[in-house]
Amino acid sequence: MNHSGFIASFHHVTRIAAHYYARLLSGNKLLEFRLRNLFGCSSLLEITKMEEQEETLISIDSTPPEVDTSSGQLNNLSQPKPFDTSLFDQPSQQTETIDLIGADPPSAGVQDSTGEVTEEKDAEEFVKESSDPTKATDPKESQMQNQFTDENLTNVIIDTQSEVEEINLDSDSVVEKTSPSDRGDQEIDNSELKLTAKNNLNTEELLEGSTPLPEIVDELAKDTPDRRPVNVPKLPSVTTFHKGNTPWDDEDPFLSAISNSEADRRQDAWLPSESTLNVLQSRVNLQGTDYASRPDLTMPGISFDEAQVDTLKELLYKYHIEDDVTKRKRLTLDQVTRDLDGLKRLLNDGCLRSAVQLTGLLLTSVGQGKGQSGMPSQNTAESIQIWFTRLALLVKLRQFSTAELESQPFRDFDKPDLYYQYYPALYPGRKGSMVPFSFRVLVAEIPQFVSQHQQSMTRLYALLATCQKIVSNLSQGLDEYGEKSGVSEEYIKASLILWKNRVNRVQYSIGNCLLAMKDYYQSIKVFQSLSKTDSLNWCQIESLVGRIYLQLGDLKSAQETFTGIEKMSEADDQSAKIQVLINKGFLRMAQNMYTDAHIQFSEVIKLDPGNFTAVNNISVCLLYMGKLKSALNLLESLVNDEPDKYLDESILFNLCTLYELESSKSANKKQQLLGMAAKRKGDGFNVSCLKLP
Amino acid sequence: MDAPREKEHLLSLKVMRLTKPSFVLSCPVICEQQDIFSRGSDGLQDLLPKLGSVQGLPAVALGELLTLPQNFGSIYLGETFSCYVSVHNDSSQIVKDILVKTDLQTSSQRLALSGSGATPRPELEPEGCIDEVIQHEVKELGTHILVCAVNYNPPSGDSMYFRKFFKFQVLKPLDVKTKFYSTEDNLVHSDEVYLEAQIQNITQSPMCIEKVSLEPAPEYTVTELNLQPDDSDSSIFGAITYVNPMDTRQYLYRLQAKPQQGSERGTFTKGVSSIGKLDIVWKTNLGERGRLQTSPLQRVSPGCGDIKLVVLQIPDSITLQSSFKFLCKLTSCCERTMDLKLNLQKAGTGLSWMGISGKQLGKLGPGDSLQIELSMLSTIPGLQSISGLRIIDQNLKRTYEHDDIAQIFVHHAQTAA
Repeated sequence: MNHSGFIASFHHVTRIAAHYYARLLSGNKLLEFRLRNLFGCSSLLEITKMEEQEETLISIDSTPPEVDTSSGQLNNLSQPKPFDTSLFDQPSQQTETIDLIGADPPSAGVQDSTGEVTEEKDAEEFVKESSDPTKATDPKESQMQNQFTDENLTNVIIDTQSEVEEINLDSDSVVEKTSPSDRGDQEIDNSELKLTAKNNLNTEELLEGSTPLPEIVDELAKDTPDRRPVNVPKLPSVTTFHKGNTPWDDEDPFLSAISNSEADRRQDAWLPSESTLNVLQSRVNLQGTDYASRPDLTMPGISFDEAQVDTLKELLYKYHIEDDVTKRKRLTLDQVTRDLDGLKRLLNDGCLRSAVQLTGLLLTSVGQGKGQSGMPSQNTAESIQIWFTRLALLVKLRQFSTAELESQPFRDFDKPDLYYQYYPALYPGRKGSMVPFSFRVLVAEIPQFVSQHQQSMTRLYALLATCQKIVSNLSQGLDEYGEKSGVSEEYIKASLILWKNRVNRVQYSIGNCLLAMKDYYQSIKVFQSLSKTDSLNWCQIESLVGRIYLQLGDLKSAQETFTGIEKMSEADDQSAKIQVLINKGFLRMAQNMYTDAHIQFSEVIKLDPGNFTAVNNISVCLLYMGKLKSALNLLESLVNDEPDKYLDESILFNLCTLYELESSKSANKKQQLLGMAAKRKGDGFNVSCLKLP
Repeated sequence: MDAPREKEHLLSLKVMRLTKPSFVLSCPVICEQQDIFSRGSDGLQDLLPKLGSVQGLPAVALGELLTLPQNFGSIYLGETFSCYVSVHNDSSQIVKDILVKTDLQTSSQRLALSGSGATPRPELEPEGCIDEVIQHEVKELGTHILVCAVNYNPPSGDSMYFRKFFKFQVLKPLDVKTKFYSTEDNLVHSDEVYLEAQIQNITQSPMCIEKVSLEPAPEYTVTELNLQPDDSDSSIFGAITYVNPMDTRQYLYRLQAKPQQGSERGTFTKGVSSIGKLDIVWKTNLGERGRLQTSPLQRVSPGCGDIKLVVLQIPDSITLQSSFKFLCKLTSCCERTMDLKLNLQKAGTGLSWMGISGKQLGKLGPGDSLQIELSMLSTIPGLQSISGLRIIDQNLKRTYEHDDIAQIFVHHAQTAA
């Protein structure tokens, strides 16, 4: 092959350089693909093949590595780097990153524990609250609760007499209360406005304070020809990781690009706002020469890069289960490659905390590290996927405030630099958003976890509106954007399925959010409409509606819903039969008929012996029936027989609650569970379910 | 909770309040197939599937797995306090003659819940348990102390005894306000009264109010006005079946006095009388039930004083700067004969009296009534209120003030046309 390679690091400066170069070559065939570098920092590399004669035009030198030893690595990576030194300093370091098994120094945990402790406070409080009810009620401890003792309350009944007179005075305030929802809506609007105003301010300040982007780019354009070519063979494995990507082979790049583009096209489709659309169109017309102003840029940055404490391991040390510490063969950050592959391995192993840390490293390497929020950096489809992973993990680890903080720069994902059209040279002809749809939903959901439900609702409904617009475009035989672009009928059909599913997906999130807001009525309405649009799952959805009724105490409506399911389901449908039995069990429990509930759940097990939901719920029934030992044995055998499957937080929580009630030796039994969990669970395991002090 | 004195004992006692269980809430994070942490299978999937999630619906937060109560929670008047008492033999010896007794101490009394008069259990083997679920409907507000006492005989030595105390507060779940309305036309000897009951949920959770019924006192009959007139089965509150925290619902009842002997229609007693009681039943989280009855509702018959003034006729609206007449009826509600005089004072902004002030109305006996016709002139457009009517009883030199007795809309002549 008469081609020579050119490597652009993931770092935004070089990315822009590559971009610039790509524009120079606009007449030539461009073959782009991404490289995975085994060394963490420049995890995503881009190689652009090009004609020989252009080789002199661009080349980038690799400055000598500054990393000294493996122990220093971590710190080094987490620091923001100056532009020049960050280019390709790592390829030679790859060997050092692997296999540091067991070298995880305990001091690292101690050193970083401060940040972690604040994150874990919620969990700790949860443990405290959820601990033995007897604690809260010990008379010695809680004498200050004594609000009512002084009153002489001999009559049980409520005294309505004294309030008769109040009514006349209060009549106005009663009227006022009737329209809280209206006022609530106004409040959202205001806060949204404030938010926008604030953000604009920030960006303006930044514009004055720092170097504008166009200058950086010009500088680079001047610089690049002087750089030495990169030594390609030095690079480790060259693999593709992105599904839509073409491997580097002899295939015609354009043909393969087309085959991928159909799926990409419908998945990436998104309708930008008008202002964003204008920016994107002007960029296409100008072939990307017009660099956007700062307000057009998305500038995320991680908010912490400290190591996440493996709480499971901490507990093992605390209870001196050293034996289990050594047996604990879960992956750690040092045992995986610092790239997407390593991230996947950590995820599959349940090592969520290490995975968060790895996303931090990867993002730092692309200029989106700690303190770099609000500073321009290059967003790519890959960096955004890493962000998605990071925020998803933070939510799973219940570090909601961090997730909320870090999600702020993305907001509604409407900045032009998140669209492929913004980079006409890098992604020629590619249209749509680089943001995965699920990431949009996640970021819309995050505010509700920090009690800003209304903001979540606003964002979710905005998503829903866009999805519905796309569905309506497709239903008219047009493409997603409402244009007649000559797409095939099959394409439209496939896209319609995708987007209808996405409409449902947003509706589920809306239903969840309403439920979290305790707006049961609206939530039920959303789920009821979903049981029609997501008709394959109607039985489960209707059962969900019934459970919501039960939870709020409306047994009558719950019963009606459950009876409706029974009537609608077909006689030979096994899963519907099970669902009906489970529903009956719940209803009986709500009616305080625990023995009957037990019978219903037992019927489920006859039909489906592996139904752990029924086993767990039988155990709960047994407790209310006064059969603690049986309840305990049932759950214990479930967990002991198949620990890999049933060592789940919610089942362990019940089991530990029963242990606490059963004997004063509960601590030992909980520690046994801890040992079991340590052997099988990654660092994402939520230890609070064990209710260990 | 391991008090030193407890360690000397062979048995241990644990208590857990059995509030209703709840459904596990998960925190779904869904990805599509093309996302990097997708596990490659088709369709939606969670980043980290947990057991609690619903099969086929990974995006739904409310699961099917039940979780045991996590804390003591709050308990409200009228609910049933239910708790699990477990006595466990922690020792390696067989313990004999075990008696577990539970009492509930309130601020006013001590209630025996279980174990009083029961025969002791002959023996409890090591690791054995004595389990009991105690239920008690709380009927008092304020501090309650659950007292659990355990008597037993160890294999060697004298009988042993220990007690444990668990304290909790019973809170008020509802705020009930009542209001009586008398019918307009016949105030003196009205035979029906309307009762409005405002029931406010002052708990922390939504509440499903199942029943609010008025149990009338024997001399009245009651009609509930809280169902749709066409369809007697559906409530007027529509599809929303629950009351959110701090929200209020209004219920309306019509009370009629039963006819007394010798008279065709019944009358409401004057002064203070008992009307009846409200019976309220509600359910909260997963069917947790509560029930309350109010104390007898007292009605004070409307204080119309000695004289009742009712406007019989008045036009709805009138053009600006024109005069109008209206008709009033004065009824005596007192036992004496009055000698009445009519004074007209400042009628308020926008209206002026037309006619003489100080007109003699003559004598009015008990229960008698008389009609007077009055004229006014409108001066300012808008909704105007009639005030400034003064009736003076010349026998007792007592003045009865009547303000805001009626309203009239004053408009320009053009708008009327």
